[in-house]
Amino acid sequence: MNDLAQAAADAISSGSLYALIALGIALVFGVMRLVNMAYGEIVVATAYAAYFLQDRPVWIVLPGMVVAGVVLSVLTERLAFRPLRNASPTTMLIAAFAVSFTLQNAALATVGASPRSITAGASLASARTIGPVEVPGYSIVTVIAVVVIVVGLRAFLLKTSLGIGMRAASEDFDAARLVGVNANSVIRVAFVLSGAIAAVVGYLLVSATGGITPTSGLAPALLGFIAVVVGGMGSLSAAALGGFLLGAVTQFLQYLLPNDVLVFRDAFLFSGVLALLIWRPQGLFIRQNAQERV
Amino acid sequence: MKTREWGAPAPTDVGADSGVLECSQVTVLRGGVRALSGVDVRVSAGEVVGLIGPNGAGKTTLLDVLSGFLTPDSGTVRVDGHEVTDLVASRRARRGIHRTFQGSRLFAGLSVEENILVGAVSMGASRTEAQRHCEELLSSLELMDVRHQRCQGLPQGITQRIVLARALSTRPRFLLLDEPAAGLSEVETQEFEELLRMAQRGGAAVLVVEHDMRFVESVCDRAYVLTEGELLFQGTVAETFASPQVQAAYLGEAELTGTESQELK
Repeated sequence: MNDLAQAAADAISSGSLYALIALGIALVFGVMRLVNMAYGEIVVATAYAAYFLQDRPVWIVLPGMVVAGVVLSVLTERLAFRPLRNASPTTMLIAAFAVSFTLQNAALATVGASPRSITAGASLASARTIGPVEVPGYSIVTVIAVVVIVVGLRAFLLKTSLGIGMRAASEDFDAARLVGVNANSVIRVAFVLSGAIAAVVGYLLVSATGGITPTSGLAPALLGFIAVVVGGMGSLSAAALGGFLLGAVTQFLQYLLPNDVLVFRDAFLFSGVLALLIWRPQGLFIRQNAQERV
Repeated sequence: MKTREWGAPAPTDVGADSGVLECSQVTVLRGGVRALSGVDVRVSAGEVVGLIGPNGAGKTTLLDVLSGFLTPDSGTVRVDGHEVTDLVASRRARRGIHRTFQGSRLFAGLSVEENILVGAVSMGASRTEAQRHCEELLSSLELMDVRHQRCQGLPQGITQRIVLARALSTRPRFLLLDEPAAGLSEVETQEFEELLRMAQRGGAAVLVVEHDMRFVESVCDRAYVLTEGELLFQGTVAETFASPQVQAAYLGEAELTGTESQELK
């Protein structure tokens, strides 16, 4: 019973992290139909910002990471993605891969391939006991972060002029421009928010792992993408729910699978994703007739 | 003094061309074919102008050029005498040009109210002002009952009213409508004509692409006839319908279309 409660707690915490990554990816996808394969590298860049701000108090480190994430995110938009705005989604996807490799190699060339240990968030690694379960501090912070970000994003999207404009642009970009929504500012805001979320993800990631390498972004970004695809592309809430579902399934496979097949956990997970996509290609939490913009 | 309930704030410059949207010698090539060939069109504040012609004549292409969704291969577009040929759609929207599309192109996942609000806030009105304008449109277009519903799946008659409300939310000085009466019942079409006249009285210039000739006859002052990308005829609606040239090229088909759409209803 306690094992199950523990698995549930782990499911919520890793689900929250996946949900955050999925939100960062879905925000940009929504307005631009860009599958940003470079998102993991933005997360990694924020982690390196934490490395360079080593030993400074959290109220300097965290804003520093946010600035790094936002600046890099906006720069990639301006330099790589804006010129391709009217290109096909495939072209943009390939451009995103190019940005991803460029950033990885830039990191290799500057800070090198060896792992850097990061003390930021280290205090969050120690375990706290809540009832029957024991969870590391960063798990609790992750859950709080996802709640705060989801509530904040929701308020932004529902209440502010820019937010309503952004939702309109996600539905129909041309029609939004037609009613005067400024395409550049909507897209820039999406990249700013996405970059800021990358910083939060980066902080949580380094508090969990204690270090970073240039390729650390691959695995979380991949899981974030799967979360977006499983939940449904084109909707933020669907993407976030996809993240939670992915976290839950991963943790329960961990809990249920016998030890000798546990190494194949991801094979089970991805087979499930494939089966799901055959059954519901548009994702689990998306309106049946929602169409992708062409 | 005329009320400006529907129209834009008074034009900034009061030249001879103020309140005029015009294009001259517009040519658009599509894969070697001339989709438009040397077309001149002019609409002025307070008039409703029809743009008619057989399918594939280039009517929608012309709206694309006027609204900034397409840059012509040659020719110019002017607003109030100022050239806007190279301005993108959102910048032209800020000069008061608004167009609709065939098919509603509403923001399906947003509520009816939000669809209207997005236009009002994006044009730079303060939030309170935008909300007030939105309330006015909701009530004058009889959309209060559905204001909180999503646009998806609403009946055609209501959808077309939302499309018009969203268009008017930007306080357009030039309203370009692409088949606004498509799919409307006779009663709904008449109601729509009334709404269009309200926009016209507010000082907007309206250019309307429409296949329903009764609609054109009833709301338009003048008409342009396009065939195969060229301007075939222009004149008052009476002149247009009386022209043997136009009848030969188009009206036979149009009447057929009109009857068909009647039967569908």
